Amino acid sequence: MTLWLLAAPLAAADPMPGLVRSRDALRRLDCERLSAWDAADRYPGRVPRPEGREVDPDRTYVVCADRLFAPGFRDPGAEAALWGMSDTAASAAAAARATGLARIWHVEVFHASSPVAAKLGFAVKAALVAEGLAVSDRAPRLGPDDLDVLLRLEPLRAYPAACARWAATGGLSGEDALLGVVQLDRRATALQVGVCADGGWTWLR
Amino acid sequence: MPRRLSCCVRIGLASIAAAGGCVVHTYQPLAGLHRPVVVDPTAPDNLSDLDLTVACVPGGKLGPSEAGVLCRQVGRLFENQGARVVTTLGGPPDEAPAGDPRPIALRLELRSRQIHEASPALGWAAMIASFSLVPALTEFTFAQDVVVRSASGALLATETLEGRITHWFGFGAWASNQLLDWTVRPEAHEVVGGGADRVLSQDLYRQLSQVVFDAKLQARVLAAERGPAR
Repeated sequence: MTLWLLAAPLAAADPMPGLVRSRDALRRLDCERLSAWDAADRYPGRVPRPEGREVDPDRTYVVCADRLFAPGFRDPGAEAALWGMSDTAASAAAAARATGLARIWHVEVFHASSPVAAKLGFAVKAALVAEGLAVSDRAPRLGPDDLDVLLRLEPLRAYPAACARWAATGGLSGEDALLGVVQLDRRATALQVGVCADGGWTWLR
Repeated sequence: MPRRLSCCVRIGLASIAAAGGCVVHTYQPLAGLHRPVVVDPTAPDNLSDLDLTVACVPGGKLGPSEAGVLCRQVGRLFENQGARVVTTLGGPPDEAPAGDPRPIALRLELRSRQIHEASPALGWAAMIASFSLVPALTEFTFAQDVVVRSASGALLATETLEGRITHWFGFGAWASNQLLDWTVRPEAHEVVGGGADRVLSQDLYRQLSQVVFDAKLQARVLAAERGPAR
């Protein structure tokens, strides 16, 4: 009994489901296995920095952080979009920069959830600024007739058509470019990125 | 005449022998396996426009027979979602799918590797000394590398799914968890038995379904960008 009581605290430190932790509790953690060096770099003061020749080169740490929201608190689509928001914004901005267009960039996010679209839009604009690109808060508009037609089109045809209409109606001039971050399907977690410039739409990824 | 074993030694040997059958398996999702998933792996129309080649490449801890089993199970997963599937152990498939080619053709490559393993000797000593009341522990961390390519070989998606498996050996761990399973834990949260394998399979299949679905959309975008073939 004494040995088991001594072992129990060690078991409690492990996030695995068991005597003191349920499977639901485990799902509220984000865990990853890191090398000793990476763990020490990311968690200084909490993970000792390996030093000396006696250090086991294969030593690793499983580090866990509490999730901001419990699983199921947010809609799965919103959760998925916000989960990868930083990466999505950074890659979209990098793709925009790679076009080489010296324009004023506008951003439109097409997502089933309006709050998610707003958050993503802000993140993409911030990432564009970080890439050294000029960014505008103005959102190019389309008339109700145009929207009525575009909403009836299949998504892969709708965005090129919208781009042509923006150019034709003056919503986007020759000094502007629009970066579109698009959720093509409600079941998708990866977002596609396209650019509208000079009336032509190009899918970047 | 051999000496008769003392009572304590007999109990100890019996406990150690029993510990071999008293094992509690637990599973923890790490990088990739706990990402949010939206697509429903049980929906029959997710991939109805897809020809999919599933290649399970043997290597490391994944032998050819295990790779074959994995391919059959993953192939069935995607067939249930409407895809037309052929499987292979790494090379080109032995036969093409029957019928007219579907609009999108993808190749899913799966490779497994072990990135960490531990079995502290102190734990085993404690288990023996305590007649298996204190559990011994072995754990390993695996990585499932997932790559999805288009028919032309273009890389559409790549993901690494990591998980950690722990085996607790000993009557103490088994009995205490079994008691909690019988009295407190709901059936879906039971620890003893096949719960860990079931949850791992669910996580793996959900993530694979999402990766392939996203890759299918990416393939459609690339095809739209290329335009109709001249």
